Amino acid sequence: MQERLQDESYKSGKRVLLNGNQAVAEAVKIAEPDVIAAYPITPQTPVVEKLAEFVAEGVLNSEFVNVESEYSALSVVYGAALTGARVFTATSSHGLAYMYEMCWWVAGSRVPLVMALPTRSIGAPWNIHSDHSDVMILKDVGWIISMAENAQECFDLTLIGFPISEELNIPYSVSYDAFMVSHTAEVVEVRDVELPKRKQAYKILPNSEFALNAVTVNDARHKARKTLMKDLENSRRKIEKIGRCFLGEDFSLAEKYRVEDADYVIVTYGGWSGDFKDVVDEMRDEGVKIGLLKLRFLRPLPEEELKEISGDVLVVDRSALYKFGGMGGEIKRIIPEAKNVIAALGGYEIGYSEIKALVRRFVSGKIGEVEWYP
Amino acid sequence: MMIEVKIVSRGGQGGVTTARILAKAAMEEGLYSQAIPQFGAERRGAKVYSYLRIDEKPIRRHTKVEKPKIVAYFDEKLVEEDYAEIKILNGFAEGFCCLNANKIAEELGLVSSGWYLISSPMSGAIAKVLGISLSSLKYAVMSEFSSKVNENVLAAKRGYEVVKC
Repeated sequence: MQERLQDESYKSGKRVLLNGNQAVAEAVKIAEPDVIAAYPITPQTPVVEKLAEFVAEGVLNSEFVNVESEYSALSVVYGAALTGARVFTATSSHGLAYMYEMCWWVAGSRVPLVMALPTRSIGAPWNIHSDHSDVMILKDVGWIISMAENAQECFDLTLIGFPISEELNIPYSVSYDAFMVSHTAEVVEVRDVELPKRKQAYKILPNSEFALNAVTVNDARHKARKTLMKDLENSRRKIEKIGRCFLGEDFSLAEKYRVEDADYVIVTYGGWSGDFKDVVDEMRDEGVKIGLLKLRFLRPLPEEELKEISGDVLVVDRSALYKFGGMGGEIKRIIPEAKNVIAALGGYEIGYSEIKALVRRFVSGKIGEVEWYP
Repeated sequence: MMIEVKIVSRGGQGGVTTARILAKAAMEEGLYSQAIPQFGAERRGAKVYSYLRIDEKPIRRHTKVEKPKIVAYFDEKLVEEDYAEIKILNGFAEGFCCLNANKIAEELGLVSSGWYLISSPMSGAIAKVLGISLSSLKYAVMSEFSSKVNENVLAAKRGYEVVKC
């Protein structure tokens, strides 16, 4: 057996064994939303169950609204958020598709809210497993999209989601791979922090004289969409400022791992990032100058880091849009020579050895512009 | 060095809980750990795989365990070809670390709908092989169960003490 760890990380904070879903629920408990509404769907169900348990035990003082669908879940928190309430919901896959119309309404109305999205494939064929098809349909609606690598990031990115969303008045999603992150229990430091109360942009109460989203003509809709897109594009500094305040000085939209002198850079996001980092370490030991850029946020896109990296680039996606993977196509706008792999959809299991084999193929120049793996 | 463990059980025996207990016990030892349940359609009676990783440093990878150092089988009929260095079996066979976990569960009343609930005795056996202390194991078992806590702690202790390699 190994030596006991006696470093500071063991003593500081509160280390507990949590899976991704439980880590999200722990962070929501700290944020203490006024209203939670969600409809269960695999693999998101444990988030909702845990929060319902917290409310029933009296350790979380939230109004928990049971709804009959995801469309209603987002509608309920939308209405509540307009009255000035802090709100939370969660869904996955077909649930996201079912609430899709409301995703646009909350974004266009500039409503702050946090939604957990363990990422799952969308049928057909029927599949409950991990890929990123669902988060890709949310990506361009006008939400802030964070993507957790592990249970610790599920906790961290949920926690900062509330102040970020409330600062920018843009809805916020914390996304994480189904099962691989949502159901895998890991050591998590539950940070001992307090969040500020919800910051108010506006409140609509029964006696308010306020018209929201009436039928618009001429420039209103154009201006609203333009402002949202510009605000999202320029949200980086505010996101990082809040992130650093709660999570430490090295927090940023993307994590640069051994990229400084790299001849090869792999761009990843989500649960596979750690496997790829292990491969980077192994290949560095062999003398290959390779690094990794992990996108912690898909929206806003960490363009500065993407522009900085040099050498051959491989973008690893777990979803397929037309011709390219979910992020591959748009990263090629920044790095035209980037290669793209669309890997293992619908929970198709690939192991560490296959990830290593993929990286070796990339380094030996055997991967084309876009490839499916397998 | 990262240690990887594969747990082969039947849905209902407690394989997933075993992985969680051991991950918690390892954490209590000051180590990093990861408990991975089989993803998807776990059914009562069906073969279920769960995995455990333990390391001195944070565990980054999330893909399935490919080459476990230790494999634990919850019943003799589940044994399959493997290349593990150490094999643990609920039953008796040549080349295995053995214990009768069913008997421990039966004696302590850890039975549900005719199924022996053997997560605690099997956790005990695996913890012993891993070199996890009995006190960390007890802590993990106590925090994992909300009913029959004492019986489970006792079952884990017996599994820890009786396993023979």
